[in-house]
Amino acid sequence: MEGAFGQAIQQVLLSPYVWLVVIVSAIYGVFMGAMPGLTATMATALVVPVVYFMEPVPALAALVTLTACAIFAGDIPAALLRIPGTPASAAYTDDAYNLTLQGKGDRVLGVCLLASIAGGFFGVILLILFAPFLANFAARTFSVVEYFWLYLLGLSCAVIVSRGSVLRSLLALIIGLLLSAIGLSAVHAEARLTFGRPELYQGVNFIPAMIGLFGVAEILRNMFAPTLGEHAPLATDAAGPGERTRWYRRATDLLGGDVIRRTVPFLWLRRWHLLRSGAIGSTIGMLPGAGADIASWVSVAASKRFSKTPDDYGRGSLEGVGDGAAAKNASLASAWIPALVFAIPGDSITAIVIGVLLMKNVTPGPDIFTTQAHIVYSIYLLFVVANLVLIFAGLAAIRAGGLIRRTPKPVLLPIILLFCITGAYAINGSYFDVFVMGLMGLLGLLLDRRDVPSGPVILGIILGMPLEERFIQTLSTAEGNFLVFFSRPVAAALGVMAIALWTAPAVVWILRKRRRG
Amino acid sequence: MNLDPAALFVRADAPWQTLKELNEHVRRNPGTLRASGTALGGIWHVALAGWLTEIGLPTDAVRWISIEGASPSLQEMMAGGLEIVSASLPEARSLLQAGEVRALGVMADERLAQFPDVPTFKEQGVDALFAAWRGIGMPAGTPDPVHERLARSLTDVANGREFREFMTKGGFNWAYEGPEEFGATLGRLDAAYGQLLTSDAFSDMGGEIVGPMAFPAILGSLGVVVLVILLTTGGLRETASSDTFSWRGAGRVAMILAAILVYLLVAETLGFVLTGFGVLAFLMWRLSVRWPVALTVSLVLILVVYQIFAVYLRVPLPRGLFGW
Repeated sequence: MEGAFGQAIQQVLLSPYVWLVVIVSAIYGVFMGAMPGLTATMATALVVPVVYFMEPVPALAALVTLTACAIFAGDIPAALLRIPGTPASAAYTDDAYNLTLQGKGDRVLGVCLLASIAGGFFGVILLILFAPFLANFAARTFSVVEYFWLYLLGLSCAVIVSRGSVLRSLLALIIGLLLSAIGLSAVHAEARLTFGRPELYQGVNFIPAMIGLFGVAEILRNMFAPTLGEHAPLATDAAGPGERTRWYRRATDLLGGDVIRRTVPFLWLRRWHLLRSGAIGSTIGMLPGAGADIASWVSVAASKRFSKTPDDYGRGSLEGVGDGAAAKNASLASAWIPALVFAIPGDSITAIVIGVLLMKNVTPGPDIFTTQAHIVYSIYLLFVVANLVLIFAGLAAIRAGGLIRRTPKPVLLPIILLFCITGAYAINGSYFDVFVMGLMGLLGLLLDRRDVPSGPVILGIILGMPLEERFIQTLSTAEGNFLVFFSRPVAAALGVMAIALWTAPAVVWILRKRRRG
Repeated sequence: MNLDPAALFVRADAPWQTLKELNEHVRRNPGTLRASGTALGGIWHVALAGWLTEIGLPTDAVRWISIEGASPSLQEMMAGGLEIVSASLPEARSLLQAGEVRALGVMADERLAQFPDVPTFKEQGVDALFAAWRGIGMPAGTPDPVHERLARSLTDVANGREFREFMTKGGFNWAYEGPEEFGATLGRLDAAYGQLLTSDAFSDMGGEIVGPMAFPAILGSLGVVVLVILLTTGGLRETASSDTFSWRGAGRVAMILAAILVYLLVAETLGFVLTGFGVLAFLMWRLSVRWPVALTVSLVLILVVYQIFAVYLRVPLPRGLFGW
């Protein structure tokens, strides 16, 4: 044991090459995550060919650092431009953007960064302490029924956390679900709604759809305004200048010390909430069929349910932002749990990881903890290192993000459009995806004009097809008996939660009315 | 390039120790066990149907649950949703080593070198030979020189030491057939699988419990209901906060959409750099950025983007006439 850990330290902490890889990946990850139009998933997909030719430890270093940084950085364009970099950030984009307009931009991003890191550490600690135990739990309890309820729960959360009326969010969700129904599903013999287009056989790819719904739609929204003005003015920050600062303060402030100083007290007050968000995020993350997006929506919904100010959610709730950010980064590390123990990927990133490990003659499995312990320890160390590096990379990115707001819109918006086109094209090398992106941009603009949120649309596109597949698979394992949906304890519990989420407000309303009457 | 024989897996705590015991169980209780490994009609489903035919049972004696992929199917079996998984051995390697699943047999002529403990079906008296070929195809009408060059390169790759080592490490079965040979094999398999695919298990594939249009239909009607409620209650009125309509604004929106369309139309001929530069500079100019600024920013940006994506990350951006 001692030997393996020593070896891991040598391979990770004492290797200049690994540090170089970590730093380059951090910069790359933050850039790809923060640039509207480029996404975290794409950032990972694009480095695969590079990573395959590296030694195992540097390869893992690149993937671990890159994902942690890119997933956080998705919050930056969300807060500054209302364009979430990942579907996970979409859960609290409106909150983050509105807070930025209120002049709390640094605080929002500070909360995003530190909550992400806190969530990240929570996930790593779970990975270190309980990986084999949790992998068994996740792999043995979650059959198709449980996934069905979990997806339904995730979708319900998307409706609940969005701003404004439930009906408008529901409409958005239905649009997303209908879009996801296009193409061939795993449970049917023929494709549907393809209108004879072979490109639609595979369905609507969610990445170009997301780039369109958020990136292009935001460009169009700006264009649609009668005057293409400056950035919306910021209210002056309450903690204004004027106080005399010491030189060391000014020095650390340059590195982002002020962001941390203004954020930490808030997060300390919310420590138990963050713990809950971390728990939600890592629990969902370790399930092979669910990732950061569901984690963040469910966490924000839970946060809203327990909040004293639920009406702020969707309009400018710093609490929601923190809870969402923590959950999405917590899910990253725990996605490695089933991947390492059973070679069952927890998400698209760990699917790549398993490939890299196999290629380097490291076979995931329970044995990996004894026979290849140094690799496992290296992964633990890399997660710790990645989250530490994220502090600096993140602060630098927040500082650089100010550039976005200083660039005049007539210059900035065409640049974003170019990145959107490049990003939508690069993921599959398909012009059709660029076309889809344009259509989705128009849809996003129309929805926005009618105050219909776009978040539920994208979650609907991601989860619609899997939801239907799990539903039909569940029914076919039980030969069409509907009782199967409550036949297993965890399924029943999730099912009751999903149903309660929809009926609870009505029940509370009736009870209140009775008491009064 | 690769040929992985099918194998049958059950949970480690399942009562069947050998293929024979499983055969007996299925014979006595047809239609009770559930299996998966891929979607309906996929190669592992064909293999399962082939095994059932071989032991003289109808192909639907084991119910097939359509789950996309071996990995989710194996997990589903661990969670208790299935009794049998049909897939290749390397796909289950980690779970086999972990002692979570048991392989009852592999449908190959001989035991696989990487899995010497897994008996073949033949040894256990069932003459089923099913395997998934993984090969590389090109669209019909590909010019001969392209076809020949690719075929030659692939032959070199397949016979190279590195490829063989990689396949062995991953537990995959190395196999190679040239274009003509592989074409003949495909023809043979087409005929053989065609026979199986017209059997009972596949004949009702159109008549699932819930048809392909059920889900969209339910959603569609729900959507209409929500829309009607919203329209009648005025929930979809434009909000006061949104900007008022202006022809200038609408014109700019049209310009952006047109820019995307233009990119779609000309990028393939002009290449990424020229098209991107043109779109950027034009849009900035129309948004009344001073032209020296517009040109400089566009030029620098397009070159940086090209360098990062096309050169460092090797994204196949549209190449166009000049190769960039």
